[in-house]
Amino acid sequence: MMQGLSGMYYRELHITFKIWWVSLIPVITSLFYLFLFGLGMRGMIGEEICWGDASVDYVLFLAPGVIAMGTIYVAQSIDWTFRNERDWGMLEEILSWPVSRSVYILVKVLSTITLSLFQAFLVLVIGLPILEWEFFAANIPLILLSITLGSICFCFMFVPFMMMIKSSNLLIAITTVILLPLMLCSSAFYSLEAETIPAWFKTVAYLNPMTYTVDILRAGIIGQVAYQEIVWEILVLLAFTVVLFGISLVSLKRVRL
Amino acid sequence: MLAIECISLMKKFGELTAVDYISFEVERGGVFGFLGPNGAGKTTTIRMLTTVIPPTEGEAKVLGFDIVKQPGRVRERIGVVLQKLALDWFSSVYDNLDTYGKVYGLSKRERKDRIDQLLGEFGLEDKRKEAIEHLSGGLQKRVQVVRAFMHHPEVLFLDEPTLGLDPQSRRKTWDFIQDSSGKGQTVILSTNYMDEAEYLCDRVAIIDQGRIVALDTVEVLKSGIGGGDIIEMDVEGDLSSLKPGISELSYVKGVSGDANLSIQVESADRSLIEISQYIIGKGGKIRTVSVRKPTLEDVFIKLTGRMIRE
Repeated sequence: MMQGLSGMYYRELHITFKIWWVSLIPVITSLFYLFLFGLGMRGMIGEEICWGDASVDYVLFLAPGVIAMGTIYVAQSIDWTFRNERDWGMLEEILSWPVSRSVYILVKVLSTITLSLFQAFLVLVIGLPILEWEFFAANIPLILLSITLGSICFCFMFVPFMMMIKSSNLLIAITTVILLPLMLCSSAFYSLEAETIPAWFKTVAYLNPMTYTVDILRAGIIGQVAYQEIVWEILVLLAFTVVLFGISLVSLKRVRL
Repeated sequence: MLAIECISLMKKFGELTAVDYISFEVERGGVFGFLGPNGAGKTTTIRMLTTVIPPTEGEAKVLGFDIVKQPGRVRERIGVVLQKLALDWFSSVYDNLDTYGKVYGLSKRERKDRIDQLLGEFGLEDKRKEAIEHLSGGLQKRVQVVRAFMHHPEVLFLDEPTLGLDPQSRRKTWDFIQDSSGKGQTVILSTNYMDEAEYLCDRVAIIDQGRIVALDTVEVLKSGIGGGDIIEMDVEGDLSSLKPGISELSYVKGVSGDANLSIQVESADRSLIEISQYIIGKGGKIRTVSVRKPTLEDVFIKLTGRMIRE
């Protein structure tokens, strides 16, 4: 199993970085959001926004949101890489290699984590020094954890769709429809602590794994959050991941590739 | 140990029975061929044996491993060239072979040496850095074939490997199949090219409508239709009225064909004049005549009443 796993991971990264500039698209998109959307919104809602026990610069507040958004974009690409491999006959070929379906999916998840960490690293390195972000080594574990767990969770969210939907056009349409509310109905762009946010919106946002990914990442980048609160958010995100993994596993076993 | 053991293997897609309870065995070494028209069930059989799809019923073992219960053990030992062209399009020829070798656990050194050897043997040295998308269809297919040889598989499944290949690539593929077989590899080949099956295969299973209609060596299959010669005639006239009369002539064993007559005789030397005189006597006009030995196509026609490429 390990041999097939490492071989397939090698192949996946090889293909991804072959057209290296494609890997930079989520980074560029994130930076656009951070500095165009972020600066525009900051002008409208004011310099500072409430986060935990303090007020922080809105663009800095937005940074974890756009990094998580990049993660979800990378995770969504699992659908179209699968679709390409299926439509071009590569999937059938791979299924005759010493690679099980589970390993095939696992490799997709591992490469999503790798790419998500890569894009997050670049956004942090390029974007945050401009915002005079104070980096502490203690930030790293939470940043890594949120991106890794978020990547796994989002991948397993998309796997059932890629397994069950045969039409490529329908697959694109559905994932596009899912992406927008996932990003908008979360804490990526707004503070859910604000009193002006409607109650129904908060309820929906707390049912969205994106909210927890962003919150953990925000705690890693900005801090200012109580330890117990972040542990709770990690557990909720973990629960989302386990449930979505279970659904993916069922779809993986049932589907005829 | 047998290379392949297949017992009442059946595959249904909805209401369509693609493979209809076939049973056969393949000894290790040599080339075993599936010969039949498109849609006969050759590809579905290969897809089941390579564990890509599960059978609906029946069982099969490859090198002693059950294709349903031990697919991983099967996959480790086989090489596959499926019919559909499947490569990583934006990667180079070298990278396609390299990543494949890595999946099969070859070390970096082994991969490099094997790629150098295979690219040389298949005349692809100057293409090693080319992206697959920039190669012609024939060269892409050649790379797909080369890839299956990378890890020295014990059993090699080739589903119409020369489909779309130029004559040079086709000949190289044939040479490599023969060479692999000579080195003890078992090759399972599906084809609808008669010459390919006759040239390469030690044993051939003729498959039609999901069933194996005959299985033996090429020579035995051909002798099964009586040997002799085949006289082919392009005749102007009402063939349907000529055929019954011709089949009653001495030395004639069988008559077939709608546009052209294909007449099986014991000996062309003795019967050609008699047949020609009969046709001319009935008002037919003979445009061309050729004489050849029976082929697997004739066997297929005899067994199914149809041509392979109908």
